[in-house]
Amino acid sequence: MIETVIAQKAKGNAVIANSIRTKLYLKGVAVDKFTAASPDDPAVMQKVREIAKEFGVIV
Amino acid sequence: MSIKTLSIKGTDSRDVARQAREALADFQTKLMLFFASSDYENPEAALAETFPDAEIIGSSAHSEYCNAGYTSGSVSIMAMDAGSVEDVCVQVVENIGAELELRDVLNGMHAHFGGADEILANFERYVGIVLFESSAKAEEIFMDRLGTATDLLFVGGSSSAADGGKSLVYANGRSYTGAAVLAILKTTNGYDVLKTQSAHIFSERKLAVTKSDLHNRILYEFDHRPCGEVYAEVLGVGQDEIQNYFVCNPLGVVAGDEIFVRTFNQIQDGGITLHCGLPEGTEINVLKIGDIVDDTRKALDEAISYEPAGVINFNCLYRTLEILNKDQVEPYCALFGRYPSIGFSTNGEAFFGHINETSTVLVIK
Repeated sequence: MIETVIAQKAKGNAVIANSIRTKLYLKGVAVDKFTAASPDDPAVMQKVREIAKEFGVIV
Repeated sequence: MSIKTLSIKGTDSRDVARQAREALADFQTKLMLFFASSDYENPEAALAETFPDAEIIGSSAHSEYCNAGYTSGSVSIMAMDAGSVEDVCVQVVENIGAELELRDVLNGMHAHFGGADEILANFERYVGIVLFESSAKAEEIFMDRLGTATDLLFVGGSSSAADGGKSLVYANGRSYTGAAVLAILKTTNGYDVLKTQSAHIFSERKLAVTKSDLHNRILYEFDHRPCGEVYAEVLGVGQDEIQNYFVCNPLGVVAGDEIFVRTFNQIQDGGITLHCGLPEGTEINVLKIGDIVDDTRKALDEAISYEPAGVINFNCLYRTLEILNKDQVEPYCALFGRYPSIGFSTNGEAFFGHINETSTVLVIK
């Protein structure tokens, strides 16, 4: 879900992808802590959904 | 020369503007950035009257930097012509302590340059400067909203003031409190941004912020335990001693290779107040402060391998006080004396978010 937000927002621009990653950290989402295999954390998922909505991307 | 830098001490703001006009005769200033000691009254009005064709933005300052010099009671000015800045759009957002929606402001600024698609297509040429008036203490929320409203990188800092002086930001020939000045620059030859905080990871142990008051910048809990107790545990000191470590061991959000420093203020209301709020869910490390001069030299040398047109240094007031205490002003300023540069001692720095105890640097090619 996190990578989807980054990819959709960055639209292929690597510089923007890095900046979105940093913005997620500063919003309280420790991006590198999670992988596709990580167990679902409802609180983190809700936070990412809210961030996605702010960014105007669909997850 | 597409950028000129000046350090002026005048009898008053009109005298400063007069000296600037003499120094900038035959120079077609497109954008003027200035950092004025809060000793000066209405420098923005005097400069706007003297340079009616230039966009002028600035901030009050506790102390100022210009080239290899460090001063107080002066005005540092950077004048940029079309050789460095092709176009600029300035907006002021007032009442930044209120709930903010910045999309309309940013959409308008994007439109000035032909829209977001034009900016995205020439991303390496566009950069933003943000100057906060610091009394609102709303920079972290503002930077979060700004980062949502635009993909552009904004770099800058928060105003400061000399003892007894007033903190202000300036634009459009006016002064503002509780406001942010935004400027988007379309640079002629591009730019670089760097950040150096002279802070390193003290402990690899990650601490999760589980209770905090972001708006009031109060930290209560790490990992569901009182934050002071956990902080003391990481440092290996008694809980009654932690205040002695607040300056040397700040907190940091570690995002990849970047560290975003949050400094402590004081123990209060069952928590610890910070100079920058932390949202719940954030993971932090405890940091240790290193050698400011060495770390700044490394950061500048790594990032600037060319002859820049100009360098703008938003240097935390804590760092200024530290280099004053350690008698390192001369070697620190010598690093910036290698370029046409200005800077000031800030009450917080901006780079993606609001940060502390850091130097954020905009390099104009």
